[in-house]
Amino acid sequence: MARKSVILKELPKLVGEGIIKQDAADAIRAYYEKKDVPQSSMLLIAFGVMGAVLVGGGIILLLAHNWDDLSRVLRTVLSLTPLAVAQSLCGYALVKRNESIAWREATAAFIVLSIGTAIALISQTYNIYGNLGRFLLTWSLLALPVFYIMNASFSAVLYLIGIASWTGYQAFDMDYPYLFWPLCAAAAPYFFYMYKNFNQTIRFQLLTWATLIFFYISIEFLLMPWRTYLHGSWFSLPGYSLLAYGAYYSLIFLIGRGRHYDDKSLFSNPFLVIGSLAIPVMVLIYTFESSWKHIEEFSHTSIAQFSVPIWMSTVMVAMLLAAALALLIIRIRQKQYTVIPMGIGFLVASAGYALLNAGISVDLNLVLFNLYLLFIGVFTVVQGVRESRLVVINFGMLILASQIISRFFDSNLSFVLRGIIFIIFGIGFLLVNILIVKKRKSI
Amino acid sequence: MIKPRLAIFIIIVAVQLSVPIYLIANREYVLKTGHAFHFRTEPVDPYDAFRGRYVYLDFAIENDINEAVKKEYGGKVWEALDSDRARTMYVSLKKDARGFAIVATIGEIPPGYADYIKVDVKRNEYSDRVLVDIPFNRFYMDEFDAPKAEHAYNTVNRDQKMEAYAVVYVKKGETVLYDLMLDNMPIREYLTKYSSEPLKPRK
Repeated sequence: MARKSVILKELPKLVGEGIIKQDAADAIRAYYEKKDVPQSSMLLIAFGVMGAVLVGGGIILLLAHNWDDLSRVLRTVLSLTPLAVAQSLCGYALVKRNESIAWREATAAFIVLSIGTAIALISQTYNIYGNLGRFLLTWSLLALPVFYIMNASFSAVLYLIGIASWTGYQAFDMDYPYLFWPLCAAAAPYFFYMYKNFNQTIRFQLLTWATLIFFYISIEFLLMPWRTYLHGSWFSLPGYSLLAYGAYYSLIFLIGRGRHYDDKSLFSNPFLVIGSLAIPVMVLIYTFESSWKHIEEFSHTSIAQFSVPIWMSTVMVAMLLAAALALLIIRIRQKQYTVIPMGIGFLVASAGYALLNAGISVDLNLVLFNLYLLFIGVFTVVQGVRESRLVVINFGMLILASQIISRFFDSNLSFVLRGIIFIIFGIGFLLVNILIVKKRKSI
Repeated sequence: MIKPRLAIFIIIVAVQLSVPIYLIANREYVLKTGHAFHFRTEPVDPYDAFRGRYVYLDFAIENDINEAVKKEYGGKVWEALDSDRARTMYVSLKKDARGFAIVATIGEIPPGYADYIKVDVKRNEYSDRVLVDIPFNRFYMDEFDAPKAEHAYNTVNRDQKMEAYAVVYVKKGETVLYDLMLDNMPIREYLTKYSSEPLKPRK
């Protein structure tokens, strides 16, 4: 908050010079001082949580040494001790220090870690054969009520990490994670509670970042190439991941472009940051022929035996697409036409998927995705110039540069195709230049 | 507002404690009321073994189970089993002349008595052997002792004259790996005895 101290220092001078009035200066000072309260305790919360995580982790390591000399009874008692201590501290925080976010966050994180410690140590003592999936699920479910009762958002983040790990474990074990959506639904009320009451706090912003990254990772696991129950027939879904991610990124980008985010910093708008970074990256990936070959390789098998996981994946993809489309229409109705280039990412992805399934040459998709990436890049540069925002201009230039570099070294493309793409690029650049020059002249 | 929250918190605490306590109680119950079986062990390919805080065990009974599974499905193992999804099978146990555990029966439903274990079987993509996952193949040790124990385990298992087996308490599919015996000694005792001299096969 260096900016704050500079501004506060300048205030008396500004009043003295008659630039602003005294009541304006008071209002500014009041504004910054009000804002200051959560800022200073933020450090306390961060240190509290870090301390709890380090102590919890240290206890795990100490006990993981597996002290053979101790008797079974003593080891059992020791395994339960960290959990009991964490629960006592948490109880104390709940009764006596309920106003202190640092106390609540730190003790809640400690409890969450201790639950895992207790189960893992007992497994060691009794040589219990580890089923990692069940362990992660039990751990997450026991952690679930902790962040509700303690209002501890970092523990909610730990819960999301637990669920994502469990989903990944299930996916790699070829078991569809049916519980994924119920587990998400179980945490949803907390998210909405935070949104309603604390949406200006860093805790809520961190939770939002974590949630968006959580879904980004989980979608991949949910769309693992599920094997159907019948032997020898595969129906794999890499094509679905193009659709799902296209829709997901467009959706969060469109959320981030909501009017109420207009005056917010980039950190407080993870929707916009993740959305507008992820869309060009995804499009860039699909400008490589190998990405499409990967989809084709798996798509040649029969779709006849639709199993429940595939139905669930299909419903998920359809809902994401529908949500993205609905929000795009809403934004257009709000006359926010500048959302269109990035916001139509899911439509381009759908077109690519449709062309591929129609059996039309992959080359057409490569042209489509290259043109779209070029369009995003050029548009971003133009928008940056229009708004005089260097960040946006540079971001646009980065998109264009990555595309040029990728195409130049893309040995999968024939020289003819590369040549054509480069010429299109060149014309694009020239057009942009002409437009900018014209605009400057008109001003 | 504190009162109902505190009540809920106490319930949460109780639930959190109940899971580890249930795990303990369950194992203690098997140790108290289950029957002890001796499972003959086999050397583990050192490249497969996880070198960490536990000794990875391989059991001779896996071969018996392999034969039993093949007999159960009458040579149609390929159709009956999957290579990705494990199938749980129930193996009831009896003792051979020397007191080691062997397979009595195998099936997809639990038998009517207590001396059985649950194993996960999968089809192997590359050979006609069935992959058997025994639920007690990890023996946890002190982090400094585990590598030594693993070495001792493999040395004794490769030696024809010495015997190695695991003592496992069994009750209705629940199992507790109680101890690992090398040359008729608990492994920790064995390590203490031979820790001064390098381990090598006896003549």
